[in-house]
Formats: sequence, C-alpha cells, structure tokens
Amino acid sequence: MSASMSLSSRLTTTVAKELVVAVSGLALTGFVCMHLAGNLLILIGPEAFNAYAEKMQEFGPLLWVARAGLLAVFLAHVGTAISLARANRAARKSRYDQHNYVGRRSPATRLMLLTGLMVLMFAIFHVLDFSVFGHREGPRSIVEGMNGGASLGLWGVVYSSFGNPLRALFYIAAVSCVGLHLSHALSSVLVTLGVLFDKGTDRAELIAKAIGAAVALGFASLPAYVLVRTYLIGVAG
Amino acid sequence: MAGKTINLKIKVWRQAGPESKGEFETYDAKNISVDASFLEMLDVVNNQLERHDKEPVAFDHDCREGICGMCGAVVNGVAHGPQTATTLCQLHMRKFKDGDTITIEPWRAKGFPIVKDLVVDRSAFDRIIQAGGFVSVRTGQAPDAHAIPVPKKAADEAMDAAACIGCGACVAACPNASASLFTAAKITQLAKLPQGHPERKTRVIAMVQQMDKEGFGSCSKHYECEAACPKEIKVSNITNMNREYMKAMLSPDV
Amino acid sequence: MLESHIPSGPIADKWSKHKFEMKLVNPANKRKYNIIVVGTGLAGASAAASLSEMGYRVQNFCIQDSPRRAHSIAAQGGINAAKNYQNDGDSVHRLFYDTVKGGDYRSREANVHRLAEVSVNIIDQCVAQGVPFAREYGGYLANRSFGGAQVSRTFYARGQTGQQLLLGAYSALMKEVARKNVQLFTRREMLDLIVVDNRAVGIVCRNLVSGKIETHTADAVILATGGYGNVYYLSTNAMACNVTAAWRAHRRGAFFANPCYTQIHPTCIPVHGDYQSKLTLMSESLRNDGRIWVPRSKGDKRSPEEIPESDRLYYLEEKYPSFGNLVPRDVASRNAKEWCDKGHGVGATGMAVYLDFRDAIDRDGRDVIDGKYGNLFQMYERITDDDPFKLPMMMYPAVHYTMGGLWVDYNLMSNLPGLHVLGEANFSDHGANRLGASALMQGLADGYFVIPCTIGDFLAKAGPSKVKEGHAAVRAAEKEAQERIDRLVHSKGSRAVDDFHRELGKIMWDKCGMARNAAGLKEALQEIPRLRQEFWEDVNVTGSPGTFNQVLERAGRVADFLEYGELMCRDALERDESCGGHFREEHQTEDGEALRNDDKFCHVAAWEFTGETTAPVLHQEPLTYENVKLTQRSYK
Repeated sequence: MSASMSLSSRLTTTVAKELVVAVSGLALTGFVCMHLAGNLLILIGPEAFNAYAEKMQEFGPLLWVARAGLLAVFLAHVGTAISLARANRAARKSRYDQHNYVGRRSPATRLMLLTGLMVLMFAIFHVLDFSVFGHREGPRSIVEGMNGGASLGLWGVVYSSFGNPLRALFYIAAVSCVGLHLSHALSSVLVTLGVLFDKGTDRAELIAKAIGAAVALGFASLPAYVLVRTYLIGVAG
Repeated sequence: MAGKTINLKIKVWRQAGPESKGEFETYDAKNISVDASFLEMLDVVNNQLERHDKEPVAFDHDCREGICGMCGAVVNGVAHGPQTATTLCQLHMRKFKDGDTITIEPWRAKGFPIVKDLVVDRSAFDRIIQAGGFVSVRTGQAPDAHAIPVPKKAADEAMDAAACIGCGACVAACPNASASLFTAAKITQLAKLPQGHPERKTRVIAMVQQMDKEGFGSCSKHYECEAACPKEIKVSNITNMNREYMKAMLSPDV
Repeated sequence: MLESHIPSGPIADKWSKHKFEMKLVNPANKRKYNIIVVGTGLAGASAAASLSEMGYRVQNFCIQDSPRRAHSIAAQGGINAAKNYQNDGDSVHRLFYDTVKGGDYRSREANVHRLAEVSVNIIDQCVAQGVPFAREYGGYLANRSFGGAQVSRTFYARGQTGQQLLLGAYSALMKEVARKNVQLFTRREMLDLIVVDNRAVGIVCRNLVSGKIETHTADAVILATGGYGNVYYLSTNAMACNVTAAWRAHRRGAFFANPCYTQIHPTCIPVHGDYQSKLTLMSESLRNDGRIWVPRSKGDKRSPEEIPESDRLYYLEEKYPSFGNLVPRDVASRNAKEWCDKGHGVGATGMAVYLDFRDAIDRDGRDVIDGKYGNLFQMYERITDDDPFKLPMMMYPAVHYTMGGLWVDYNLMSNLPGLHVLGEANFSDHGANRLGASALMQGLADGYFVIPCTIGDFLAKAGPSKVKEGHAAVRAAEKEAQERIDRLVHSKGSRAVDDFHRELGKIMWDKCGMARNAAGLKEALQEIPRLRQEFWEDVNVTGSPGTFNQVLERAGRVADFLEYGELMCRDALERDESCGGHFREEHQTEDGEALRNDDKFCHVAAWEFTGETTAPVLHQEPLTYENVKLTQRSYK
C-alpha cells in the first residue's frame, strides 16, 4: 500500500493531531489550575495576592521562557484543533436535512469549537488587558474607599476591573466557556490517550464535568466576590 | 400478527448520479403492514412507482437479516432509523405511526460519494482494510490451531470488535463523518489476538493514514457512532486504536 | 463422456496420491496466467486470495459493493472439522462417513473424503488469520455438537461463524488486492461465459453502476457464485443470490448436476404477508431445547398458553422417540408440512408450528436459556413482535441451501475445460442433503485447499489461452448479452418483475418444494414455459440500460430462474425415488421416510443444454460406494 512509515508522516495523521490537541490541552489545563490557585489568593487579600505576583516577577528571564512555552502550547492546541475542525467540516460536504443526535454527547461536546474560540478571544483580551493596559501602579490599582486612596497593586487592578459589572459579567461568561470546554475535554482526552474503556466512561464524564464546573466556579467566584462586596455590602464593609 | 396497516408519507432523497443535484421527493406509502420491514415498505413504494412507469428509489440491500451490512439510510435524522442496535432491514413498520412523514436520506460523507438515490460508494472501507486490516499469512503456512492458546477474554474481546458489519452507519452518524469506529474495530480485533501482533504497529499507522486519505474526519468523541452502530461496537475500540497508535507513533521498529 | 477423474487406490490415499501425480506450474510461470474468479463468498474469496498468493494473476468479481458482503456472511451455526480436540472418537473417517450418510448416499465418496481431510487445515488457517473462534478458559478452541452429530466437531464464533470466516477470507483477499496481484471488480454481475474451442476463456459482465457491458478474458474461469434457492422467490438467501452465472455457463455447455436437490430448513420465521421479500432462518440449535408441537385437534384457534398439555401434539417426539426434536433437517421439515397440510397448523395463515421453550425455561431457568439463545430470541422478537419467553415461537420450513449445481470432476473442473466451480455453485460433496455446519467447510476447502492444487494441473496441461479481448467470440458474447438486456428494457409490458418471480416461486414451492409428485411436476413443466413466455411479452422494466438500474438487474435474474425452474422440475420428475431433500411422495416407507432406489438412481444426474426449444439431455455418473455401506436412514 501507499502507507508511509516515516516519522513525519506518523506525526501528521488525524490521530496524531488529536494527540497534540490532547497533550497540549492537558498542559493548558495544568496552567489554568495553577492560574486559578494563584487567583484565589485575591479572596484572601491584597497582601497575599500582591506577594504572589511579586514572587512570580522574581523568576525574571525564566518567566519569559515559561510564557513563550505557554504560548507555544497554546498555539499548538488552537492551531491543531482548528485544522482538525476544518477537515472535519470538509468530511461532510453535503449536510443532512435532518440530523438528530441520539448518542450521549452533551451540549459541551457540541460546543467545543465555539467555547474554544471564545476562550481564545478572551485570552487575547485578557493578556493585553493585564500586560499592555494594566499597570500595577496607577489609577486602575486604586480602589475607591480602600487603602486611603493609595495603590493596591495588582490586587487593586483586578478589583477595580471586576467592580465594573460589564467586565465582571464578561469574565464570568469567559470562564464558563473554559469550564464547559474542560467538562468535555477532560473525558475526551482519556479516549485520545488510550486509557478510557467502557466501564469508566460514565465516571470519567462525571469527573470531567465536576472539574469543569469547579474551574468555572473558582474563577467566577472572584468577580462575584467583588460585585457582592461592592454592591451589596459596600466597599468599606 | 393479523393485518394492521398504516398510511405514511415518505420524503426521500432522489439523485440520479454522483454529479447530479439531488432533491427530496414525497410519495404516499399506503396500506403498509406494521409487520413489514422498512425495506419491504420501500419495496411497496417502488412497486407503485414501477406501475406508474417511474423509476423506483435505488437503495442497497441484500441479506435482509442484519448481517451483510449492505443496507442503510438516515431515517428521520438517525442512521438506520429509530430502533437501537438494528439495521434498516430489521427495522419494522410497527415503530411508526399512522400518518407519519418519514424523511429518508443517504449516508452523507465525503468518503462515501452518492452513487444514486440512497446508494453510496463505500469502497473506502475496503481500502482501509487493504492498508493493513489483515494478518499476512499465506494459505498453508498456518500452524495447528492449538499451537498458540488465546485467553478466552482476549478472544471474546476480539469477537466483540469483529462483529462490525461495515455498513457505514458510524460515519453517517458522526458529526465529523469520521470512520474511526470502523477502523478501530479492525485494529482492536487483530491487536487482541496473538496472531495479529507481528504487524500491529505498521497496521495501525497504515490504516489510520488510509482513513485520513479517504477524506473521513477525526474523532471528537461525540459517541454518535456507538449509538448508531447496529452491532453495538463500542467507542473503547477507538481508545484502543489511539493506544496502539501512540505505541507505534514513536517506535523505532516500525 | 462424464469422466470424474477420481484417483485410484485406497480412499484415504487418493488425495495425496493425486497431489503428487498432478502436473505443476513452475513458480516463475504462474504470473503469466490470469484467472477469473466470480464471487467473493467463502469459496471465491479464499480461492482468489490463495491463487494470488501462489503467484497467479487474479481478477475477482462480486455483485455487491464490497466483497465482504457475500451471502456466506449469514451462516450462523458453525464449521465442522475432524480435529478430535474433544477426544470423543472423531476422525477424518467419521466425518467422511457422517457426511456421506447425511447426504443419503448420493455424493461422491472420494470428494467427501478429501473434504474431511482438509477440514482440519481450514481451522488452522482461519485461526492464523485472526478469526475469533469461541474459546474455553484454557485458551483452546471450543466445540459444540451440531445438527444431531454424535461428536462435538463444530467450531463457531458466537452465532456469526459465517461472518467471521468470510471476513477472514476477505482480509486475505484485501491483502492480495493491496499487493496489486488481485484486481477487484465490485458491483459486477456475470451475464455470460465466453467459450472458445471448448475452453472457458472469459466472462461477460455488467457494470451495475454504469450499466456498461464488459468482457474479461483469462486462462481459466472459476465460478463461486452460490446456490439457486431464490428460484422459490422466498428463501433464506440474500436478495441478490441468483442462478444466472451458473445457468449461463450451463447454456454454454457446462452440465448441471442434480438440480432437484434443495434443502429446506425446518426452523424459519413463517411467511406473514404478500409484501414479504425474504425469509429469516432461526438457528438449528434452537431445537436442542425447544419442543415442537401443534394442537392435537384441527383448527384449534386458542392461544398457545391456553392449550393444555393433553391437547398438544409433540409430533416429532412421538414419532421419533430416540432423536425426537433433533431429527435431520429434511425429516423435521417434512413433518411440519405434513401437520400443517392436515389442518393442525397455527398462526394467522395456519402455516406454522410451535417451537416451545416453556419446559426448558422451567427446567434450566430463564437466565440459562437467555444465555444460550438470547440473540436469537431478540431477533425473533424484532421481526414478529412476540416474546419467545412468553409465547412459543412459530416456525415453518423455508428453502435454505441447494445441493445441486454445476457438475465438476474431482479437480472441481466442469465438463467444459477451464471452467471450475466451487462452493455451493457446484454439486459435489453433500449428495441429496447437507449436514449442518458443512457448507462453510466445503466452501473453504474448495477455495483454500483444493483449487490451488488442481488448477495447476489444468494450466500446465492446457497452457495459456490465446484468446484476447478482440477475439470474435468475445465480441459475439458481448453483443448477445447486450441484446438480451435491450430486449428486457424494450418489452414495456404491464407486469412488474417481482410479480413473475412470485408466481414462479409459488409453482416451485407447491410442486417442486418439500414434497414432490409426478403429477405436480408435470403440471409445473407446463406452467413454467407458459409463465416464461408471458414474462418476455409482458414484463415492465423501468429505467434505461446504461445506468444503475435495479429493476433491470432483477429482470435478468428472473428470466434465468424461469428457464432454470423447468430444469429443476424435469430432474425432480426424472429422479423417481426419494432421497435426502428430494422427497417424492410416491416413494416413502410405511413411516413416511424417504425411500431410495439404489438400483436405479445411485447416480449423479447431469443435464446437458441442447437449445431453447429442445429438451436437455441427461448424462449419468454412477456413484460407487466402496467404503460406506448403503443403508436406509432411520432416526426412530
């Protein structure tokens, strides 16, 4: 047959690409979890969170290496997923008049591409927001009625941002997409990596959904906290 | 079993040839016995068309007992129709109600070009098997059947995978028109058995490459294939294919 | 004229001796030979793959969209082999003996012995291909007893043995297609055989997608095109099964042997309406636990659970105390027909008997029965909407397999040099009745182990064919096929193809079915030519010839069945005895068993075609039994 056994052709099949998506997705999930853990320090207070942010800065050039690595993984994930999605669309040129899905697929499964693209757009915005436009010192770091009008560092930037209900809702929508994306991805990845067999499917899907929900709720707790504090309790409270 | 009948309308895809533009046509299916099979209902409609000197609806079928894999159509949006674990020929009209309109479409996938009406070209499946879905043993080379014992569990699992009838419902049902379940079932059958081991690495790579070349999509784990499969082949076969693939992907001895 | 080429010597040595004595084709020369194989069932696929492996160039044709769909796929039960893995006294000789006896002493001893010999190699080959046979916990192959055999020699893969064996042969074929040594032609229907100077050198076929007539030439032609059960319209055969390839070869000079031998399977789901297109077989294994009965009084319309034990007639158990419900297929079928004809039949049409699992469920429990027959029960319920756990199944016999076929010699070559016939399409190994689990064995024996040896002898002696595509005989055959198609398409009559097929089926079933008599057969011989004439005058074939046209396909097949049915009836009339599946009502014992006439009919009846308007000529090949004693079968 015309099969080629060269390494490059072995690495470019759809199955190999699914593997790239899976492995990069797992790495990104790891990053998201760490990011969440760091962000949850916001709930403790400015000192804890700002200290964590300072600590990160101390890595210096290493931080840039990590950022570049993260970017590469992210691009690999997005690029490969988009290339697969395009091929998958092309695989069904003419559409059904009626196509009823009768399997176990959840809305999360169906919306993978959409949630993925939403997260992509959010990520771009998010990075720009906090690197280009967000300064640790300056007007955005000052929260009205707190710290006697002095800068609250990065904590203050975040807090002020979430104080804007539109920004907060946008953020909640974005992290919901992350959660939804993960709730399918984390069980799907087990099939791709060749470890999920029939008996475990129900449980794996349940766990994936739980993790997805936890991540989304974890992130969403931050704007929720700010909104509740700002509008229900009042800043000073 | 005495003669209850129903009247239906069928909205069926008509397409003269691979390059023609297809469209739906609607026909009456009158006095259909509820004990008739779906294909027998189509026979009745076709006889009626013939009597009016119209060309009957072309559809593939052969054994009509659910094993040859020749028949298949998307009925009301579901591959092989509403009854699970059932080929179209084994679906009976008692599953429909008097007055229903039934939409019948061919398998739609780039890898399965339409030949005519509901008939599609599934030769891509043969080519996937040609890429490696066999054990390279010539007639006469085999040792005694008992020379290599096979654990019962492995034999049973191989049989589960080998039950595939190659009908293509997995492709038809998959949102990506992926042939992963078909390909994976053969890979799994031969990976479970010691006889398949010498070629297992080249087999999985060659078959996956051919699957891609035929224009099928990839597996996004929608599980629609499993739901549509008349032989209840499981997605765990795909898990197994991926595992085989990973082992082969970076292996130096391929 | 009929030379069977059976080697001399003791039965057990004939095949080895023959293999040594046959001429061989040098390995380097094999690639110079082209072989056409028509059909991709067990026999065709195994032959095409094996011949290609040896180095011959093969062109393989099938009617379906893929070779994997040939009707061998539907065989449920299993495959026999004389492995004696169960240590229960089986041997090649016993399998040979059982097969000859089961065939009611109308098969060729030498062929059957060879079949039993190679049966063991078949299992080895299939296991090596990755066929997932059932296994025991120790990892060794499981066996079951099948079809009333006294030993457990049947190998099986759940209820899908035919499927798994076919997929094994198919995978071997695909391997050779990938090597580009087999050229595969799917969706092709053979319409004629090309014969030049008394040698088969090619075929004419129709591309079912484009409608084009194609010709293919080769140095030898192998037909593995299955049986003719669909002459009855309703049978357990797949819809596309037909006699055209064999019949066209017959018209070109190949003799048709024993066309009246038809096997009726006792346990099929009864007919339930005019629209019905085919019959579904339920595995013979059901008779291991199910009890067959009818109401004791005629026309008893009570529902089965309301009929008390005393009003139930377990007719097989009463009549055959030692075999009971496990009597051979032909005996079980005839008894069912007899009781239905007497007015004891059940169901809406009165043409069914009960197969009842009530006692087995009471004895073993529902789970055990479910474990054994769960799949079959589901299949039954899917079709009939009745749950066999609650109500007895209803069963009626149906046409299932045909033992007759093109005449072949010991080398599986017909009387036309170069034309070889394998599997159900030939006549050779099953005599007048085939035993359960023997069809798969024969198809694979022919394809894997017999033809690869014997075709070399023919090719070495005959040399390459000189006939090429442009030859006048090739063009003539092509033209004839095209004209026939044009004639079908242009006869814009008023009746649908299926109407004629249904009517022919009814004549055949009523007069040449489970029981036949001279008067009925003579009537059929009047009716069939009449129907045939009407067909050509009044059939309506829609669509055009140069396209994918399923009506035209069916019309061509029915046209040939209309010729073939007549030959069947003629043979059935000529064979004035009962044997196996051929039951002539005039010839039965006091107990209603088939009564053979060994003095007059211990022969193969091989018919020669002499023309459309002249009667065929009968040739006889005497059958001699040196190793098995002819006795009256008894299952009391």
